[in-house]
Amino acid sequence: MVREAEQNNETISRRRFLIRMAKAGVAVAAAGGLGALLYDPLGPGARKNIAAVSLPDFSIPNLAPKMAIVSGSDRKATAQKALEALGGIGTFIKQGDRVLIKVNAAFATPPILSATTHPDLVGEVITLCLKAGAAEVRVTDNPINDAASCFQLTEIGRAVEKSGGRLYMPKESYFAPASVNGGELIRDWPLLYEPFKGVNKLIGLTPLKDHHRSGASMTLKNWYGLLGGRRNIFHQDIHNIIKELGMMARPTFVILDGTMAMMTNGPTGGAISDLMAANLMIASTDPVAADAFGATVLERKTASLPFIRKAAEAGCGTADYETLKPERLSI
Amino acid sequence: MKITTARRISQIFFVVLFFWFCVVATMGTEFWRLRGWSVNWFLNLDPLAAIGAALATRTLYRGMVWAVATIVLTIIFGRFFCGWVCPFGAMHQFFGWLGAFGRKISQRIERNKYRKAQSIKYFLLVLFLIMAAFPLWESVSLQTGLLDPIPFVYRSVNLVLIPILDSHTRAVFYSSRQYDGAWFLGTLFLAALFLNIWIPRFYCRFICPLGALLGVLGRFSIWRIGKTKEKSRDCKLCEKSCEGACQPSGKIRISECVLCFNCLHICPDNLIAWQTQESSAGEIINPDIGRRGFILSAVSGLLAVPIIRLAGTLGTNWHHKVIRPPGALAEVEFLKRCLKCGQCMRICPTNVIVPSGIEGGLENLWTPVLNFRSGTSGCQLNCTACGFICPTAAIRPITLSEKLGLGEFSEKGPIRMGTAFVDRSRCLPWSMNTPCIVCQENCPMTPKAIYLEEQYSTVRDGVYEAASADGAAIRVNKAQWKPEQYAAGDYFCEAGGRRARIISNSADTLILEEPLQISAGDRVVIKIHLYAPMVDIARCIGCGICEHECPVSGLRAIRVSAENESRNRNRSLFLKN
Amino acid sequence: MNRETLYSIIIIIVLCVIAVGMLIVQGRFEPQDFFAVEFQKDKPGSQVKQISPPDDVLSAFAIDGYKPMGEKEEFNEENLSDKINGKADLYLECGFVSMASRRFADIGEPSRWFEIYFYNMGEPQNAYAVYSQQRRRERKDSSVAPLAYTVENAVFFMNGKYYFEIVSAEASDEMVLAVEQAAAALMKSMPPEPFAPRELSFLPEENRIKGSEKLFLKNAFGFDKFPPVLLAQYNLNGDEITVFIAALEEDAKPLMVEYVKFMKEIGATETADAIPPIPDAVVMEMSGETEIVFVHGNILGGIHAAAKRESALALIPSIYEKAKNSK
Repeated sequence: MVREAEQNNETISRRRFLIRMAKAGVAVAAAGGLGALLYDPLGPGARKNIAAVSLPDFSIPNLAPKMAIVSGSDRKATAQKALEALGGIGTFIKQGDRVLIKVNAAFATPPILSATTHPDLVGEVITLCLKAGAAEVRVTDNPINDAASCFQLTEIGRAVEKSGGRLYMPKESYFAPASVNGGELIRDWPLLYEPFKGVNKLIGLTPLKDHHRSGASMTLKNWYGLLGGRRNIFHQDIHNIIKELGMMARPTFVILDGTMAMMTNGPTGGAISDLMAANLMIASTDPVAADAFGATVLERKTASLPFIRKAAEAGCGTADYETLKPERLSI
Repeated sequence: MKITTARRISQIFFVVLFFWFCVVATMGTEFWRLRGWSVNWFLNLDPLAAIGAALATRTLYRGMVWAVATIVLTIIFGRFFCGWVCPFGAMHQFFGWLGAFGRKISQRIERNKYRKAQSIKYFLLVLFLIMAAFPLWESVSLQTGLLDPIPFVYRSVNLVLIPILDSHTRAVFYSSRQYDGAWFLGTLFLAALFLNIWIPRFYCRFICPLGALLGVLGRFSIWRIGKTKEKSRDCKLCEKSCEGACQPSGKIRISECVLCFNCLHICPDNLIAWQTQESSAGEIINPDIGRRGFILSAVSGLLAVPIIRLAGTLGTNWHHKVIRPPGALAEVEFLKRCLKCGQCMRICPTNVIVPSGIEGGLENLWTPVLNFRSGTSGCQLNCTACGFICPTAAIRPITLSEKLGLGEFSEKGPIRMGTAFVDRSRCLPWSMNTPCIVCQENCPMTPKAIYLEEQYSTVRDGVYEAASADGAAIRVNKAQWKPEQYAAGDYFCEAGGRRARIISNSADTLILEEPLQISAGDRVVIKIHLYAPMVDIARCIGCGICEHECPVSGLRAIRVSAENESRNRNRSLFLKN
Repeated sequence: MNRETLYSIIIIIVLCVIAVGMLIVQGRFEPQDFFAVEFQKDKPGSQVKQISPPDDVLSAFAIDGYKPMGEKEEFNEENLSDKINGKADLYLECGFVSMASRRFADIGEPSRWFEIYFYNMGEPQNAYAVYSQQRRRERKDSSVAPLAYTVENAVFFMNGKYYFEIVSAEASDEMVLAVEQAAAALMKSMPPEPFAPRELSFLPEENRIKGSEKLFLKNAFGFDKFPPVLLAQYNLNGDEITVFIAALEEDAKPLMVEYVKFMKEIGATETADAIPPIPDAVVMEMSGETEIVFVHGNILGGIHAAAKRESALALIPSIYEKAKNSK
């Protein structure tokens, strides 16, 4: 009798527990569901959320890194020869490819100052790409300050037009927030993304220059011109930002133009005497190697340019360019 | 390891974490400055803030979604937050522990017995939630922050405790801090802590609306404290250190239990357990307020907002000194979100954001307003920190472009917090013939919002009759000047419709920069050259730097008030916009 | 292990996870959100940085035969790098106030154009710092201003607190003439203000290479405790040697101690075998180069990265003597 009552009690207690469990479960589900329903990550009046973009890898798969160094003063000839040494433009550009060329048009300065990519080089590379069958060759850069006069006075705009390329002058609507995988600085940062839409090859064309803040401005630093926003805050951490630029943009190949290398007072220069006729054209599939070689032309030690080591450690390439067995040719 | 040891570790951990958040919430690059710290985390975990704001706005902003985790865990475990996480709760517990010294066991048991007044917190909870939920012809008002322990402890520590402790070390703040009404915040903070000496966890038991909310949420908790046998020797030892005063010796009040576990091991007969079954001695699930009490506080809540707003502070009787930080929502929306947590006042690098008093309406108490007399400067042009830290987007996060009206915001123009007004009766050039252009010099806008009107104003008793003139030297009748009185370069001599700068003077002779055509008997007037400041309302954003710098240091001669602020269109001074 | 201990340990693990989570959040620094803030470390009242528009010379500026290309551009410390990118730091570190620039083109031949960069550096010393640090090796002295020189395509000069660059799009004698004319026209709008850094009077003239002086306002050689330091090149029997000098408000001895400590931290070693020929001096070696530092009262001087130690030791007495005798 007593045992039966106890058992009875236990059953009741068990039932009440199960009911409580069920109620708790409903309450948890309601709390979670309401939370998900009411969740508002942006707050009132915020700008529209644009999903962060990132750039794909534009390098040619399964191609061993290559580099070529051609001496000569005629940019068209040296660039052509350097690309031949890499296996010919056909190795990189196939029929129907859409190509984006990132030039350096950061300043509204004339070509003789070599603070910007030389128009001859831009024109030649566009012509080569089109000959190789590219469906479209786009050229872009974000000089922040008055892009129109930058493209005009550097004469890059005219070179693009003459050789059949298409110039993407930066506009506010061209930017989209981008993040770099594993990056710490480039997070939801405005990136000049519109020209990348539909593109499957990326080429960097860069003048070889001294740079007051980072020591040297070469192929890795060139991607800086893809950033928008208040990017000058990155000058506070210049070497890491260059490293992250290397992580962000994996080009098909780059050309570092050392025909007239800016040895002092970079990145703007201003005097012809800031330049040295190094007469070198460097083409490379590995931007880090190109920069490491460029440093020697500028008479810098690699150690004084921490971004080279950082970029190499981040897997953007190798600082020991000799391992690429660069072909050295001359015209 | 005893579970109570784990609880103490947990409480210490969260108190340390809380103080760490308070210390690091300063802008800067060092590791102990605000970097990625989630300094709002306790506010985010706070379900009262989340439910209040969700009732008021129908949204859960950003980090507030953390509160869902607290709610879920509370549904499963009961009021663990109070006993294990809440930093304010831990402080109360510590002071209660201090108060237990020298008391006999029977006295301790007496201190921890259940009291009818513990139902007050449920009345407050209902009152606040109803105010936040049901408008009754007025829009809702989120007032939970007045007594919500998390905002309470944030603002007390950030705005009172740390400024005092840091006043000589300057490790946390770069300069000394000033907060209006800090005496009141400090008094409440100390009172809340010291009352624990009398009754432990005084605030938690009687006042804390968050505790009340968690008590309600924990009514179905799966595991709970209870007795394994109905009958015991009734020694009440289990209540000796009972933090919640939930009477575990008898019918346990589930909504009062804060899971301190102090009763677990103290029972001489080992009759207390943490179990899935209900206590053998029975349980009291519902808070002790009854239907009548519920209805009374609900009705109070329904009427409270309309009564408060009879003052008209949201209408034409709005207070001009309620100048909100940049990015603050329109006043009606702002009052649906602001928790009064003080984070914006904490982070403001110039200390220009301070807690409001009740002059702008009772609802305004402890909400952020700008006081340009305190701190180190006005609102900095390039700073958007307050919007980024605000846990509820009462001050929404704005970009610098939006604040300054650049790029895509150029059509809207910069965000205006108010407008500066020159008080011509106090301004040195306007009313006292004294040169001063400090406000114009300090205006950070480009082009400046303060411009200058050039004036030549006659000095006191400045009209004379020329006695003789010798080139640039003019002697006048009946003058008794101090030598060099007019030599500062700001004084001019006017005669015959022409004007020349005075470069020197003796008792009755002026030396001019260039000669004027004067003959004896001519009228000679001494004028001072002044630039009088004027405000261009189309450019002024109300940053208050001019007010801060004004040398008329008592009642400033240029003062910002909230007219023309962007967030409330009806306060505009323009026809359009 | 009993259940209570198990639960306790689980809870402590949860606390550890929270602590680690906080550390991770700390690492996810979002500069975009927070860098907009100007940090307020200074005393009250002084931290309002004024952004004043550049002195308005360029709006009305005109030169015969040239017409303006586009509007005048103005830059402040916020946006200077929009115009000159990474070189902005050079100016910002030297007290930059504002810059205005404008381009002018030949009326007959628009491809022949030049651009004027007009920097207001706040103080003559600041202008001198940016002028001297950028002074080109290959240059011709110019008489357009107290401190001026031309290169193949440009003229660079300073006057008072202003620093100017006029850079042409073409390297030709004709264009150099044009930019010099522009410089002369600019100089007409202001009185000539010659400037020489205070530190120069502590350096001997003998063997000094003219125009080799460079003024670093701070951070010379990467040492952040240095006050303004003047560098000059000396030519001793064909060896080029860098000499530096700084004049302090107080006794320079403690600074020397700090500097030696700093040099050792970055890899210099004190040389035991070389006895300095002057009192209160330290001779160090770093990567095969000789470093000397000495003090005399308020003056700190020395030699930086000399390739040949004997030349450095031969030169240093004359530097010391001059510093000692010019109070």
